[in-house]
Amino acid sequence: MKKYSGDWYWYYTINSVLVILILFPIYWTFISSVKKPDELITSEPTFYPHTWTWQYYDNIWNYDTAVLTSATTATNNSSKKIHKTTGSVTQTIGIDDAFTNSAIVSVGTIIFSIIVSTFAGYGLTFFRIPFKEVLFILLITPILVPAISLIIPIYKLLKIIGLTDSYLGLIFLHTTAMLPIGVFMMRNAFSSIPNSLREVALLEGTSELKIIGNVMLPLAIPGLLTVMVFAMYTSWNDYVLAFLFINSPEKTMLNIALAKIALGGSQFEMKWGSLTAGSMISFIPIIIFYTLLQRYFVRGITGSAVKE
Amino acid sequence: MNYIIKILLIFSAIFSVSKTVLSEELIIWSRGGWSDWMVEGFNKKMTDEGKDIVALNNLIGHADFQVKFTAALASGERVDVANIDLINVPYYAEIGALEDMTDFLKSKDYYDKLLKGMLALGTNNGRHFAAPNAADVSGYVVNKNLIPNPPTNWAEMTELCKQFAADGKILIAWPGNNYGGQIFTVMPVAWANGGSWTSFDGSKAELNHPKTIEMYEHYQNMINIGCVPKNVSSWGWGDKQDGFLAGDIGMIGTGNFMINVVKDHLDKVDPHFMAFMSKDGSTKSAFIGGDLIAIPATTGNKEAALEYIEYVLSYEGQVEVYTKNGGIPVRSDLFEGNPYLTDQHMVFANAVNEPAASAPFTYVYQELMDPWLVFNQRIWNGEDVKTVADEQTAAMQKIIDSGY
Amino acid sequence: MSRLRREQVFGLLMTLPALLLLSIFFLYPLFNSFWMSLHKWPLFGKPKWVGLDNYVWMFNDERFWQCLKFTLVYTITVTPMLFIVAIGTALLCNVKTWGTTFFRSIYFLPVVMSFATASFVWLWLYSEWYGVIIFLLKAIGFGPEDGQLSVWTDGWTAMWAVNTMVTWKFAGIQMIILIAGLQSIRDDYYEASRLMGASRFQTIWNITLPLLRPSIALALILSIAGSIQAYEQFQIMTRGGPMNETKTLVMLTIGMGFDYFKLGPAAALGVIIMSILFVITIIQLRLFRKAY
Repeated sequence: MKKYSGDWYWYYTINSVLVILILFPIYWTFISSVKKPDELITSEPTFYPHTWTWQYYDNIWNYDTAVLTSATTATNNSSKKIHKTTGSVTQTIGIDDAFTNSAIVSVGTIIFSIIVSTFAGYGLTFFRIPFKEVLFILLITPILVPAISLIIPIYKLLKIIGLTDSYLGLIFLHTTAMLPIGVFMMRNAFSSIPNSLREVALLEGTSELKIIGNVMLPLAIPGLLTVMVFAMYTSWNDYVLAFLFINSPEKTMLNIALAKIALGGSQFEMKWGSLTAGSMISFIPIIIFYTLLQRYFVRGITGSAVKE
Repeated sequence: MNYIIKILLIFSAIFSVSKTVLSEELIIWSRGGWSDWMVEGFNKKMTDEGKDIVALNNLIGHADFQVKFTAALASGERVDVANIDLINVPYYAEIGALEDMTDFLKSKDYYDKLLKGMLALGTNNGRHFAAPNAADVSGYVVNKNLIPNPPTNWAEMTELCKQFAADGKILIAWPGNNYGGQIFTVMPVAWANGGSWTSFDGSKAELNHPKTIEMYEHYQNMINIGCVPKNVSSWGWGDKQDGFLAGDIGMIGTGNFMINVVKDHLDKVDPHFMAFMSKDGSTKSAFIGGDLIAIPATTGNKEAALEYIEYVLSYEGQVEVYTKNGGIPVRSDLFEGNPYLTDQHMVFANAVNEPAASAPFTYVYQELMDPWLVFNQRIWNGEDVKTVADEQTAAMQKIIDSGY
Repeated sequence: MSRLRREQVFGLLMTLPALLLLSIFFLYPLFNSFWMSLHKWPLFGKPKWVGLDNYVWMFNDERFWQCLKFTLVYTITVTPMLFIVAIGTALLCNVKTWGTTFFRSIYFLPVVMSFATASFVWLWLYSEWYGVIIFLLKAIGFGPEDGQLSVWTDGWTAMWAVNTMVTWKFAGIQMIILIAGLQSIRDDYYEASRLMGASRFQTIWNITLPLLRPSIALALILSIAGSIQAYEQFQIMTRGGPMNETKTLVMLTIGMGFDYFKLGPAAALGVIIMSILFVITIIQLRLFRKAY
């Protein structure tokens, strides 16, 4: 580590300026989401909110989509009710449902990514697999291909498997998108663990699975957590795949629902208030996730689990 | 052991949520927010009539509908009823992606009252493949706070323009970088004047019609006088709408949805809606846009789908659901005595009946948007209208000729 | 079974889940797409074999060259921007002192925002009427007197506006990659250079940067791969305007497939983009390996 002697002044000044510049858009989005419409839509923007309103958030929160209705005209904000004569169900889908949906897919992606990446990374590090380098390169290739250009083949594929409009389909797609990063990270993480550790454990007769569970994983935790954050990032922030491959309103993802609210109405409207409020709603969970785990990043990327 | 059980539980939760569609469920793909009430009303009617049909509304929204629908069609995804932007329908009808509903429509007593312009776009070789569903009609909105006497012809507009330029204010603005916005709110002025975008069957590009050129020169003139921002070619739809709502722009082209939008801004805007006009103000016009409703070929239940369409076109659907929420009915017999049509709405409803009001018929709409946009932007940037018109018409013709 | 055999099988089994996912959800659609690119593939009805016609058609279409040119220009301009900010903040945050972790996490913050959200946020900031950036620029004195200042009028300024957003968003992750690399440089090198009396600048230029090469390579490869595949930022912020000056290759692919319904050529374009990226990446790897 380099030490700057006597430049504390410069160091803190530059950093402070940078922090302000970088945080400014986020700050601006936040205050835009709480200004009243006439203060928001004006050619003289204010740098802190003179007025305060939660109306955009309210609008989003109370936005609901009646899915089916029974003979009794459904009132809003009611949870599931089963109507006896026709058996049809009354449901209102709100943002909290979209939130849950995104959460389910994200958690699923995280779990799958961790499992798949760990095993692959481990296998590629410690075993003499034929064509090891080729396989590794193959696993990295997805970063060279824009997923969007493969939409139609993927759609057809999902139809054949029967996974259109399902959480699992989306989870699989997100996990595949995560393969390059995940496998790379975990291979890095495992590479920095000396082979000797494993050899000793094997000689003592521990099963491979136990080695992974009790020895390797704990040492690779930074890498693991990094994979977790990236998996969350890929899945939570995904728009295109979630938009195309989910059809039922009750499975709508958060980003899609937010975009609908902000850009809804006629073809040409753009409601800045709802847009900024929606951006905050989408952004906050992942900030929380990230803040809790961010100190493992650097170690995760270097893969240095064992300090020299 | 414990965590294995937990993992299995999560798996089953994930697995259990993919569902298959029962045959008496109708899958509806819509673009507008009012579709939820439409579906709700329909389901209620089905229950009242004891029919075992239940519709599921899938509100996709305007922005990406095209992509999603195309992907669905290309992979054979089941969609029973789709609300499609009318400008894209000719192509779908042509390639056989939509079910024939000619007999169904002709059997209705309101058949000849359906908005002709819209119906024409869903017609292919005399057969109907889509019905009008929701109309988005365009027109001017004028802020009477800034313009106490709205112009009735181009000469008055130019006069106002000079006044506004002298005061350094903006009289009118339009979305120079938005191709859809311009064909919605700029082209109709040319139509009122007698021009056309393409020939009626879409086989000839006609941007360089003399009447169209005349209209573009009028608008370009206003930029030169100075009451229109010099950089209008990069304005987006939101820019001009936001500007108008903030009370900074005198008048803009807009659609009937604006009637509801402007309600939140009445402190700054005193709205007056009027149709686009020809040079002397005698002929009016509008872009009759909106949705057509159709049954894709991937449907699983055509009869039930027709039931839904019947509901949409019925009095209840058009008046109680659609007009009540601010729309214009797609049946002209529902204009009279409609409790929800205010005077403001009638401006748009009447414009629909104008002979010059229309929507262009083409198989290659999206591709044509390219030369169309370039056409507009070059003119707003100051180039000679006739030259640009000739060049861009040739470009459009090339695309039309190379087919779809 | 021999020990080697057992190891090979076991290893393959471990990588199997990843390989399965890759094959089913990536390789299969990829080959499918390649297959499609060799056909005239209507939305409905039977595809017709046309061999390389789609590719020829694509290369003859001037829209392709325009988008290619822009995508390359964009990549060439945004990559140094990203890199300079990243290396600057990386060097700054490599200091072991109070606040470093805090600063580092702030600089990384924009990365976790979704790309679409970031695009909308900056669209709002740049809004000609109500955007605060325009407001500030006007206050400083930019822009014509009659008031309208827009970054979207000219393709060049539009691109730089988007570049700024992309830099804001992605410099953080490049920074982390570079920091990881910086941390693996042993202190001895710095000791030695200090003993030799080298200035800070000389140290950075002659010691830090060369030793950082692998990290720089990684950062650049990721950055360039992302830039060539640019889609969302331009789709949301400029929609390709003005006059298609800011349309990227991927935007053209989507437009070709979903707006113009030409699925065959769209697939061909996808393959072309991939090939370009492949070649660029190989070149980069070669360059870095040679120098290293």
